[in-house]
Amino acid sequence: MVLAFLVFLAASCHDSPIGDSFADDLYVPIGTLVTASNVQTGFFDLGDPNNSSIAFDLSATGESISTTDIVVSYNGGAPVTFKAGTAVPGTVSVTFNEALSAVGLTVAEVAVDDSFRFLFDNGSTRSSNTLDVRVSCRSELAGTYNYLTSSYFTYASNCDGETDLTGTVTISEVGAGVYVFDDWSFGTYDACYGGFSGWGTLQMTDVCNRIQITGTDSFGDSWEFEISEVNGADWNFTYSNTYGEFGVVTLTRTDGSDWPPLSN
Amino acid sequence: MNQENNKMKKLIPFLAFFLAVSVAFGQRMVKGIVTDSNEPLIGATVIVKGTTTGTVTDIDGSFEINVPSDATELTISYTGFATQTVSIVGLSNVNVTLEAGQVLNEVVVTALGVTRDEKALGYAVQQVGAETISKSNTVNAIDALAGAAAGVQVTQSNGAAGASSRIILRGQTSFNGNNEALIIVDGIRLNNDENSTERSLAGVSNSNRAIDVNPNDIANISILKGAAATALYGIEGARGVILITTKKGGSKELKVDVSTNVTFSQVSNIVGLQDKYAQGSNGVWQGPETGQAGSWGPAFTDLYYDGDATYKWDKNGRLSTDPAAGPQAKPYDNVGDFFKTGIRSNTNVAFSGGTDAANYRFSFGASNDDGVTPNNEFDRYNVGINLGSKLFDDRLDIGISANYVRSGGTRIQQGSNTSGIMLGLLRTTPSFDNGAGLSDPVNGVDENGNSSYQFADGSQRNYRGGGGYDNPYWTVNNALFNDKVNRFYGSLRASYTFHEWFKLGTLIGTDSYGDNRTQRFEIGSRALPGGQVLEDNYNYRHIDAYFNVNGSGSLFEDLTMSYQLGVNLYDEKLKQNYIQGDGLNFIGFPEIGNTSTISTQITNTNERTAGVYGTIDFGFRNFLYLTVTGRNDWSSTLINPLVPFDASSISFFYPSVSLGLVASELFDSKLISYLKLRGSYAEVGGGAPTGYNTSTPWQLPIQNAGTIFDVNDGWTAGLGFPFKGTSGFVLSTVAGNPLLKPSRTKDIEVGFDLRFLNNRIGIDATYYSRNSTDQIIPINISNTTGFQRAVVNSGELQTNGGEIVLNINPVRTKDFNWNMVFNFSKWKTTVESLPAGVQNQYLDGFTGTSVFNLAPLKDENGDVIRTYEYGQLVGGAFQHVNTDEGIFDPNADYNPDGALVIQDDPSLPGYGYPLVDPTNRVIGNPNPDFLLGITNTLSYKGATLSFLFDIREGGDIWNGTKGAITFFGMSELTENRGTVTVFDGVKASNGAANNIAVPLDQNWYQGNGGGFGAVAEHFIEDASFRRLRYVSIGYDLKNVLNLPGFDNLNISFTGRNLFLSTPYTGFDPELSLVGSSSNGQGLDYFQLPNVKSYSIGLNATF
Repeated sequence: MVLAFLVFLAASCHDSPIGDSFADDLYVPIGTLVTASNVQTGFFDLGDPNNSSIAFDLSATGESISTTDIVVSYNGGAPVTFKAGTAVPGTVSVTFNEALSAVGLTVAEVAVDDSFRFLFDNGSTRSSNTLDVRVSCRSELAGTYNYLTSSYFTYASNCDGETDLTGTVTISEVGAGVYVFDDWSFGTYDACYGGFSGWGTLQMTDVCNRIQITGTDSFGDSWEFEISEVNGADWNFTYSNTYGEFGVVTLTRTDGSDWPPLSN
Repeated sequence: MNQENNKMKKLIPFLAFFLAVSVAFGQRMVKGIVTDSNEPLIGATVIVKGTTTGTVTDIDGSFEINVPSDATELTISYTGFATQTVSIVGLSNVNVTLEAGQVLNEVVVTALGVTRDEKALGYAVQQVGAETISKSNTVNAIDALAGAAAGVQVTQSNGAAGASSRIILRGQTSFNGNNEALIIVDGIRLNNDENSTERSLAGVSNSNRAIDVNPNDIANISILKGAAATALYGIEGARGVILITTKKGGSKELKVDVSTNVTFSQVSNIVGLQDKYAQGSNGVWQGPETGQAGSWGPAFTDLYYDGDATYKWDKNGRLSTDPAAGPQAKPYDNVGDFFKTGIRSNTNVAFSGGTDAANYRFSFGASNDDGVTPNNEFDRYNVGINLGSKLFDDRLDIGISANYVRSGGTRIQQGSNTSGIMLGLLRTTPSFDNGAGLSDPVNGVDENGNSSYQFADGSQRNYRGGGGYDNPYWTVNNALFNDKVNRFYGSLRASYTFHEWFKLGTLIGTDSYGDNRTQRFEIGSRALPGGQVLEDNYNYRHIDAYFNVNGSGSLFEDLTMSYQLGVNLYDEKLKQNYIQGDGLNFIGFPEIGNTSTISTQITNTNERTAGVYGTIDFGFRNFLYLTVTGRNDWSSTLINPLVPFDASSISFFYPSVSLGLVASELFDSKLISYLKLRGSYAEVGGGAPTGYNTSTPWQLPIQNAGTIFDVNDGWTAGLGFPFKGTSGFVLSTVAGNPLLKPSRTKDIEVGFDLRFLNNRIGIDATYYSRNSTDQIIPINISNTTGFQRAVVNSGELQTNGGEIVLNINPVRTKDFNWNMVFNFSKWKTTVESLPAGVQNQYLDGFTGTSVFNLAPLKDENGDVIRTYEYGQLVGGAFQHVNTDEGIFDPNADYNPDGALVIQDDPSLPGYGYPLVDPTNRVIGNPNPDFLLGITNTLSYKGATLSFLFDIREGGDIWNGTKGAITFFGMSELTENRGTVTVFDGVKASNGAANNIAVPLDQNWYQGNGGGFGAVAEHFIEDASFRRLRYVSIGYDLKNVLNLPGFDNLNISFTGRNLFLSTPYTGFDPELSLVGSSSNGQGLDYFQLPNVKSYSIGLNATF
């Protein structure tokens, strides 16, 4: 009878379609995460392809490894093993031509904004960390320049916008081809609002002389530069933002050089 | 307390009177030995016939008993032996030999309090005796039923003093209504509502009102599980019935029963917390002043105190990664420091006695429970009176039962609210000391006037710089809930026997209570910064009256019959006065008069039912029994006030028939001692619907956005009443339904009771199938009707289940006796249909994870291809392979056992991590696969050891607490931060085995790896458990101490919840956030923890 009871118990085993908890079982410490850091240059220079290269350091966490294969893919295409048995930790240098050769392309076949993605594969596991390297051009816009701002508008009642403003603005490079201005209003906020520092995440990117403003200021407004003319040392454009403010600006270089042919 | 003591003192002269009266009766001593054919029987029961005066035999089978001088007979009984009645006229020594192999004629209490021979029943009834209830040592007698009977599921809301408990018999029969068993005390309904002041997911854990019954006053509990057993309750019978019979006087001499015990309780289990990482983000320490919520800072091994004594958030100073800064930093144990040892004292005194014509019992009980949470307490004081008398040659039988209860206490905020102590406590980073290093963090203040939870300037001290969540010490001082219940319940009964075929009887009872509640939120509360005071008062009263005629006798030589015809009138009233005061004017006086805005709401609920019932029982030659019952109910809540009254429209009939065949009477067998086959069919109701649904009521307009009364321009609040000083009413948005009727449950039950080997083994098995139709459910309707919803009768629930009660007596010797009882229960309640067009019915839950009743899944032909069990957990899931092709198909069934599908496109977010299923899925089923309670009772020479193993297999619970604290970096799970894993799954692009190594970091746990991401699936856990529900060791000191005059002197030690084995990683899989207030079970979210307890008790009868 006891046996029959036990049989009954066994027949009543868990038949729920729902699985047991797996939050704790989800995380088995396994695999190796390879990380590329201290990346030098950060892009392949289409303007000087034969001298273009990148360099980065490799390190690993998780299961111990001494080498990893570097795998590269072009524009999301099939990955190709590139540098097998690369030492980890170590420093890796990759020329533009090596990358092109790995994916079977020539310089003529690539364009601005194309991308090489480097992945790290040690045979058993592939790291989720990747290194993306874009095809771009060298950008050298950083510096301090004179501005002349006219025909501007703000919501400040004490500014009529008819008095031209002059001063200097500093453009700082925060990444390859990525810049920030210390005054995105080119003097108008100082004159009309008495100063401002909430520039938020505004950035200017230069991709082979194509200019784009990204991010927003601390009020959530985005900004835009509409380039009208680049003439030698003078860069003329109109800035505006989604709050409705605008102004006409001429940025003048003082180092004797000219602006590159910038455009939108 | 002083008032209570004064009341007790006032009663002493009253008691002394009865003492004096009782001792006036003469007594004499009778001794004897009880044996079987070979050896003495230990533990045989010896009772003075016609009384409750009794004793048990000792290890030599001997007994001594003081009997009234006019007593003439003793009744001796022992399990597995035929009960004998022997004469003691002129005798002082009586030796009795009992015959083995006979089945006791077990008497059980059935519907309407009728006692019947168990073998005459055609359905299963289980009884739990006072001894089991006593050994369980619970404040709430309902908790004592867990594991003690088959078909019973008891779910505690938590382990706080005064917490509610939910009791379900044989699954659910209602979508929206009450699924908890109907409770009857001495024939009269006992209200068991919880009356939640705040919503079910937050607020405090209220009591449900069965807690007001003193377990020490209970003689036994009959559990009527099937519809045939409850058919005489008609419209209220579907939920099953817990029949409580209280103790009554009986002895001709005064008996004083004193019991007292002290119980110490501790938190039994806490969800795993990490204590290795400090407050901060991305490995950088950010102190309380930053308001940082997470504990994603540096490891303590890399942190040091800078010793800055001026740093107000920690007396050790700020944390620094510079080893030269000062001593090594250490984590604080906020949870361990917060909870204390709870102490409960429970004392009961009962005086009982009687004469030939009358009996009495007076009882007094005091239970004072200080919970493990500071300032949590629940006290209960009971006074009970039971008087009975038989006059006119026992033809007139009258009695009165009266019980006064005063209960209530102080309750603590829990659950999903920023003042909930568990929410604040478990999220507190280990680098912050909630107690501020004070020796008494609850009440203490340092030399600068700062308490653990409040600075001298009045601002709150907590780990988020005063924001976020209340410091738990703040909550237990400044957000307390007090309730005070004054309750009276009792009954008058009378019956007169004109003839054995004609007896008139009546039973009239009432249950009346006032429940006065006050919730105070002091200024500065994180939940209600401006402060708030709630006054929530309930006044409840019902009258339950029965009038009946009954009789019994023999029709022919072999045919017996009994019958009962009666009327039941029930009248219930509930009035709720709710006053909400918002915005305290100044701190330190959290009273309603100090609030700036006061709003009130008064709710009146009235309900009446009238029923006529009849039952007729036939017995043929003591082996064949037939019972037929019928009851017709009329419910006032179904009256449509807009049409002329028509009694037939509110009338419902509930029949039952049951048959019992004692097959063992038809043959002689030395192996089989007893075999009964039984079967029954019955129909019962799911309770009268709540009122005001049969017509569309007028109500004050509700200006909620989105309602059809929301007349506004998108900028202003719109139009509303009072409009320019004129009040007005509008029709409710819920359309009335004049055709509404109670849900109906049809129940078929078959079973057998088999006992053999001289009753050493007994098996009682039951199978049942019940179908509940015409569910009352609100559905959305087109707004073009002028309404938003309508209440309809629709939907169907089906329950199939079985129970096995196995009794084994493995050892029965002179000195040693071992009894085992297995209570096995298995049932499955499925949703067979919802109203047309309704895919799910919300029961309870959160935005991410909720509990729903789900409509069956149908194919394109409308054929059902799958049904769902009651109350499924629905939430976000990962993608799993769910096709034979080894891929994930969003239109295919959820397959949690399928391999995870991993994002393997490095150009997309979440590379290397599991993909999220775009559809919410049924991710959990809270219903258990089976329940098994195993009770062992071992007795050896006056010592008794009892223990109950309670097993629950299967069922799921959403560990929302763990999910949330994982997000905040407080879960023990997050100690693996910084490690690397490869998710066991397949790549989304090609189905190949995943090999992408990913970091387990803050980003993952604050995304889909934590409780606030798109996925809840990984926090659904198996709620199975194996629990040592209680272990009790008792020893009878009477003979050791040689105390004449004592019938009983027993010392006992009891432990509850001392052992728990479960795969669940949360508090306790048995707990439920919503308690008894909701049908949405399976939710764990920062409710108070469970406790384990140890107690020592002394019980004396003299």
